[in-house]
Amino acid sequence: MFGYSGKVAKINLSSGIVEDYPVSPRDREMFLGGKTLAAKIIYDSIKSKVDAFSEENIIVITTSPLTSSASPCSSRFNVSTISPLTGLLISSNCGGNFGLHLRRAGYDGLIICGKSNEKVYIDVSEQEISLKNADHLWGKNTSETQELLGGKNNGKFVIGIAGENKVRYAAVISEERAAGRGGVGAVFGYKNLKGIVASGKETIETFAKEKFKKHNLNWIKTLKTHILTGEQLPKLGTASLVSMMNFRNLLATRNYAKGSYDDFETINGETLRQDYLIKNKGCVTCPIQCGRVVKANGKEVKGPEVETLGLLGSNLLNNDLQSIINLNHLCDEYGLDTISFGSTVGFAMELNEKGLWKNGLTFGDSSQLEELVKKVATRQGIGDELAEGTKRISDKYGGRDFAMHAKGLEIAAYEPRAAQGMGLGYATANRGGCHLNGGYLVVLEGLGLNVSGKIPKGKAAYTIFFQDLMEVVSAGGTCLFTTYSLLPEVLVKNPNRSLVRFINKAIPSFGWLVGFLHNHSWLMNFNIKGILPHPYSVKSVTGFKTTIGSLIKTGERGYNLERIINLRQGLRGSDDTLPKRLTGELQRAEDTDSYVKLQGMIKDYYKIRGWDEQGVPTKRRLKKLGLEDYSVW
Amino acid sequence: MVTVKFFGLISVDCDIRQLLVKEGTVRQVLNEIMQSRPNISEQQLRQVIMFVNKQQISGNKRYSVALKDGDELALLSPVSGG
Repeated sequence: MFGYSGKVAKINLSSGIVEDYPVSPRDREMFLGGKTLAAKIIYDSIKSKVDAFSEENIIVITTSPLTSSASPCSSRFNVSTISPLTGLLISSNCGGNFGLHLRRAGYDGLIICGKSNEKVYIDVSEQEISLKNADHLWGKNTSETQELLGGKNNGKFVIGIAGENKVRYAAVISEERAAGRGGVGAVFGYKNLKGIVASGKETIETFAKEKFKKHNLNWIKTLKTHILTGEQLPKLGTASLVSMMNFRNLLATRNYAKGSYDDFETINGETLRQDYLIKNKGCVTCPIQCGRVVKANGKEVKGPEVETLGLLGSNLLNNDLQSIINLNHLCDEYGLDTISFGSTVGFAMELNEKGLWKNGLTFGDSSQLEELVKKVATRQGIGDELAEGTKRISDKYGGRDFAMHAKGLEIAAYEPRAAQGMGLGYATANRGGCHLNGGYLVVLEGLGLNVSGKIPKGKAAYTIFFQDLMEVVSAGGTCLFTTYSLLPEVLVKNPNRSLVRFINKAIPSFGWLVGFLHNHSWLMNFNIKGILPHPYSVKSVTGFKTTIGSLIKTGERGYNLERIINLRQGLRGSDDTLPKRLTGELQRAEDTDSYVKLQGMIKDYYKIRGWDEQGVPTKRRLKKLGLEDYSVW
Repeated sequence: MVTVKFFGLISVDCDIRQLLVKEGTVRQVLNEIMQSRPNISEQQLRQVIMFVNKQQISGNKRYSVALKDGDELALLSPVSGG
């Protein structure tokens, strides 16, 4: 077998029984790995709607064919479960070294079911999988837990105090990297599972070793020389986006009331680099090195990403970058998603301002925020309510029109009223308000390229194409940033050239072609490594006959299967929506066009996806994707 | 005076955040930038995205936009990846 260890273990926390879970060669080829393979396992394992906090819910950790291979940016692994925030499927991706060590232990994935009576952690090695007592780890933060688990040649994946207390947006941490979104950490906590340690020396066979090696060298060279992955991200990190987002009215500000922040220069990537950066850092096997190392309370720690700068900065009118750095570190230590935490606090501030919930939180006052992280993680005082997330707070106190979530998941830092495609992505993403699962169309709409974010034309097709592409890049096991080097440098570097401006204007008009190609992906059954290196990598490692077309189809298959699971969990088409603030309030009074024109785009989206008017995948589409045996009911 | 602000790679590569220059057209202001900061090339300035008082200016006509006392010209290198 090539590209896989061939073993997935099912661990029952209730009984302590560990058994092999069969994954057929056909399943591997159809679902590849990561989030799509996890969706297949969850579909098969959970037959009807389950509650996130129930013994019937399962956690599926999956690696991918490229995880721990020599492919660039390939330390990624996935964790999926039913989310306590959304009640739907959540898949969360992480760049820590746990996935690599899980593969070395000889496993492609783990399925964790049941609920332990004792506090435990799971020890995975080549010899055995065992449950071990975690009493001494309970109540510890994520870095201390990883230290106590010991060993240098192993990978750890642990929760902090927030997960133990079932904060609905608790994260799971490996090294300093988070599987942040959707509250997977809370499901760990519910199951009395503090974490997992994996170690071993197993190796995975590669189908075409020499070709793969040569391909990787070329790919690394491309990543290292491209303006985005070779210069911008290493020099400024993702924080470099803050300034452009601000100028393009894309930066979530004051609970998304605005798209720009007067004090953005105090929290942008340039200031982070000039005044705080010690060095940059990356995940294992990453030539990009976008991570920042900064100081919090005298200690060298991971610096904030653009999302964190937005949600804990401009969104709260917090112009103190050291405060954001400290908060980011505290959230990692307690094991909290910075996006959901920042967004929930912003919503609480507006509720307080409007007199709907007197909680003492005020925009622009960052003095209480560090204490607030602790209160949320330990569920003390107002922290207990904030730990429930935006949707549940709005159910209790009102303010639904400005409760900034989609399907229960807090929206990321890209304000979509200036980026229609990003708005559609948030509304339709299987995870809920996630920029990446939403297709990240903002990469065309002002970041990277300069396609107008105001017009909805063509955006449905592009959104679908990018959603499916990112789905399958994730499933393959590489970082999504590897796709940025695919943006032709000539377009990125020369935004003022007449030809480039013409192309940016013309792109929406080619939505029909993108939609056509998406739905006739067999027309792309070839490989052009310079356009998309990922399928060739998968082919070299696994021996599958992977092409650009087949890879996109695998992404589409995964996206549809996730949709089916969500529909089974009670999702309705009417849930593919956004808060009224984004669809019914102008972002800027002087611009009558500054709102998300969602309705028309949703219609186009369903049509191109091959879904009916209720947003349910049609039998015909499922058959086309090889999912004829899968159904909602 | 006109405040010129630099963002993204141009700011890092040329080690500059801000510059005060005399009023004039964008073309004149860019020329003054190159004179006072020889490490900034014409090529780099040709590639940046420009905003005058937060409004984007583009196309060849951007060079003839007049900048008056108190105006802000922002020069941004293209960015992506979040």
